[in-house]
Amino acid sequence: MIDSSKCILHIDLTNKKIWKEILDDEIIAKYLGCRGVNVKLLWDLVKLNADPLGSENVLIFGTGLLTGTSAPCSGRTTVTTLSPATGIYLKTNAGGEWASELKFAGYGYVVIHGKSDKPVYVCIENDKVEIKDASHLWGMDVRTADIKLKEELGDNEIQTAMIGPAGENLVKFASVMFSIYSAAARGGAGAVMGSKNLKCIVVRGTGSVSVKNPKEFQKYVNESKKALFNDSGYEEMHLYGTASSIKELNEINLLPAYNFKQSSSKDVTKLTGQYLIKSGYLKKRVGCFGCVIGCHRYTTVDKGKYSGSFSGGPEYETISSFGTGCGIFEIEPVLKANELCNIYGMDVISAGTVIQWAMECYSKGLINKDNLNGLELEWGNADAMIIMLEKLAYRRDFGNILAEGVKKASEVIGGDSYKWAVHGKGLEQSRIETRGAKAYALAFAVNPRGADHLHTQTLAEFGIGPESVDLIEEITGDKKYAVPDTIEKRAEIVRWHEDCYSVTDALGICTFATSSCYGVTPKMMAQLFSTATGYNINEEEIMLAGRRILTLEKCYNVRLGLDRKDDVLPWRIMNEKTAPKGDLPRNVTTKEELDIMLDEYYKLHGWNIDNGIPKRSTLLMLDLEDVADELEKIHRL
Amino acid sequence: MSKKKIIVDSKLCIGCRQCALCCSFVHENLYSVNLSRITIITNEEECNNTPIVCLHCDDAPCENSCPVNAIERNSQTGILKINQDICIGCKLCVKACPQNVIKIHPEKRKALKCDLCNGDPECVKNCPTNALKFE
Repeated sequence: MIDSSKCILHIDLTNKKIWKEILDDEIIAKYLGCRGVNVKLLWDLVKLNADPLGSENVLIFGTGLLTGTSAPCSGRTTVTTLSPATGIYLKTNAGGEWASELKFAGYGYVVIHGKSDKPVYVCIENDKVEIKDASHLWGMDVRTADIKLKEELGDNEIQTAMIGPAGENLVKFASVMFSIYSAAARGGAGAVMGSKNLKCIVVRGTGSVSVKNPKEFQKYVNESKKALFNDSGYEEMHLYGTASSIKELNEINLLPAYNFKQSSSKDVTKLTGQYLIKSGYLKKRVGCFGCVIGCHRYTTVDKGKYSGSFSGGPEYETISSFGTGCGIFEIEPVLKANELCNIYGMDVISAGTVIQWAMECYSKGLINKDNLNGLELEWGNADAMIIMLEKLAYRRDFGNILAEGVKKASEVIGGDSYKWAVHGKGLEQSRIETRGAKAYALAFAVNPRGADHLHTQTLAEFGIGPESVDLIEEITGDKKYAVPDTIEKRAEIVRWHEDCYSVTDALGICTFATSSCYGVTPKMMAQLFSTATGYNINEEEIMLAGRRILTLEKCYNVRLGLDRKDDVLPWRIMNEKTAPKGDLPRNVTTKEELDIMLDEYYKLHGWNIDNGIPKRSTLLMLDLEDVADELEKIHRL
Repeated sequence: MSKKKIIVDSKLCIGCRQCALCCSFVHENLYSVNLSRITIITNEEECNNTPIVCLHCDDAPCENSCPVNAIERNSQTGILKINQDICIGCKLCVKACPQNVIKIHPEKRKALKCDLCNGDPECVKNCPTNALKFE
C-alpha cells in the first residue's frame, strides 16, 4: 500500500490544532482515493444547514492515489467543499506539482476546518506543520505572493496552493491556484479558502512514494504510456494544446459565441492554438507532474498595449470565454484576461460568462453607463472587459453584483435577463455548445456540481478519432452512435464517462489521458490500482467503485433537497436557436429531449424516474447502506 | 572517455519529472525526485525547466577529489560510477562537482550519482518530448 496516500492532515484554524488521521484500508478499497475519499469526508463532516462561507464548512485537498508515482499524468489534486456559488456539492481539480510535493511530504490529504481570526498560511515541510501569519501576504496577487514566499522561506522548491484577491474578497467563483498557473477554478473553492482567512498552503516534501508490487506496477506504467503515445489525438494535444480545434469547432457550428447566442463566428483565425505559435506568443509547452502530454502553455505578450503580460495558458475554455463569448476576435486581450484571472485567482469560465451576460444586458438596455460607472460594456469592447475583470476581483461597482455569479446577478437585474444567464444549478456553463452535443447536454444537466465539463466530458460522442468511435461501439454496441446530435444511447455514453471520470480523478490521473486521448483505459487503471495497493480488482470492479463515488456525490445533493427538477439545462439552451449563420442555425436541446434522456439515465442508474433519487436497492448494491439509512431518516429516499 | 552522453534540450523540457521518477525507480525501487540522479531546475513563474545531468567529465573533479578512490571509471564506456562499498559519504565530491549533480542518500549516507544506467539511461527512455537524448 502507498502509505502517504492513507494519511490525512487535519488543520483546525479556529483552535489552531493540527492532527493526523490514518485512513482504513477498507476506505481505499471502497473509494479508491482523492475525489472518492474527499466526498466521503465531506458527506461525514458537512451536514445540513451549513453556510458554505461559515466556519462549519471544510475545505478538503485530496491527492490522487497514484500521485507521486510514474503513472502517466497522475499529479492532480481534487478540492472538495460545499460550494458558495451553488450551495451544493463541489469538487474542483487541478494539475501542477503541489499534489506530488504533498505526497513526498508524507500526506495524501489536507482537511481545513474552522476559520482563522486573522490571515494565515499553512506551512508543511515533511513532518513539520505550522500555521503562520499571512497578514503581509493578504492582498497580494498569486504570482507576487508565491515569489515572496519563496524568498522568505529561502526555498525555490516549495509548492503553493494559493488564493488571490478574488478569494480574499469572497468572489463566488474564486479559484485556488496550484503551482501558480494551475487552477482548481470552478465553484468558488477559493472563496471558501478566503472565508477561512487562509491565504496559502505551502508544501515541501523530500520523501518518496513506494508501491506494493514495484516491478508489475512499472510494467503497467510503461504499457499505459505507450498506449497514450500511440493515441491519434496525442500529438495535436501536445503541439497545440486544448485550443487546437477552435477553427474546426467554429466550422461545424459548435463554438459558443456572444453568450451562446451564436455557435459560430465569422473569423476565429486569431484565437487558435496554432495562431499562438505562428505569432510567437507561445514560449513553452508545459506539463504537470508526471504528465507525458504537456498540453499546458506558457505565453507572453512582447509588444503593444498588453506588452509585459505573461502567464500559464490560455486554454480552450479561456479563449472561448473571453474571445468568441465576448465578441472579441483578437488574442492579446484574451491573453491579458487570462493573466488577470490567474493572478487574481478567478475562474475564467465564470468570469467570462458574467461579463458576457452583462454585455448582453447592456446591449438590451437593462443596464447602462450609469450602472457601470461610465463603462461602455459593448460586445467586443476589450478594454471594458479587462476593466470589468479587475472590478470583479475587488468587488468594485457593478463588479460586486457580478461577483455573486450569473444566477444571482440576473435575480438582481431582473426582467428577462434570466433567459441569457447561462448556468446549471448556479454554475456558469462550460464553453460547450450543448444544443448540438446531446450527451454533453445530459451530462451537464445531471452533473452534481452544475453545468460543467470537467466532471463528465463525453468527447467520444463526436467520433473524431478512431479511438472515440471504437469506444462508442464498446459502450452502445454500434459505431453509428458516434454522432453528437442524437439523443439515442446518450444515457449509456454519459454513465460510462461518469464511471471513468470518477476512477480517473480518484487515481489522480488527468482525464486527458483517459477520455480525451484514450491511452489509459479502465482496465489499465485497475491494473495500476491493483499493483500499487495489493488489492486485486478488475476493470468492472474499479468502474463500479467509480459509480459509487458519483452516486455518493449525487446523494450529497439529495440530502440537501435536490431532485429531478434541478437536473435542467440553461433556459437559452432549451429555448433559443442560435442566430443563423449561412444555412446552419443550431437547434435547441428541448425540454422533451432532455426528459427522454433523463428517464433513460435514471433507469440505467437504478434511480427513481419520478424524482431522480437513487433507490435503496441501488445504494445497497453499491455498498452504501449507511447513506441509504441517513437519507431515509430525513425522508429523502 | 565516454562514447555517448546525455544531451539536454531545455526548450523541449515540459517539467514532468518522468525522468526523475524513472531514475529513482531503477536505482532505489521507489519514486522520489529527491533520490533521482537527474535534477530539474525550475523557474515556475516563467515555466522554465532545465534538466541537469552528470557529464562524466574527462578530467572529473569528483573523481579527483575522492579521498578513497570510490569513484571508478569504466575504461571502455567512460562511465564514472561511485562504488558504494568504498564510499565513506564525506561529501567532497558533492562540493567538487561543477554541475552540482551529486547528492548524499539521506539514509545510507553515501554519495549518489548518475551511472548512465550502465549505458542505457532510463531518463532518456522515459522523456516524452525528446528533451533528453543519448548520443
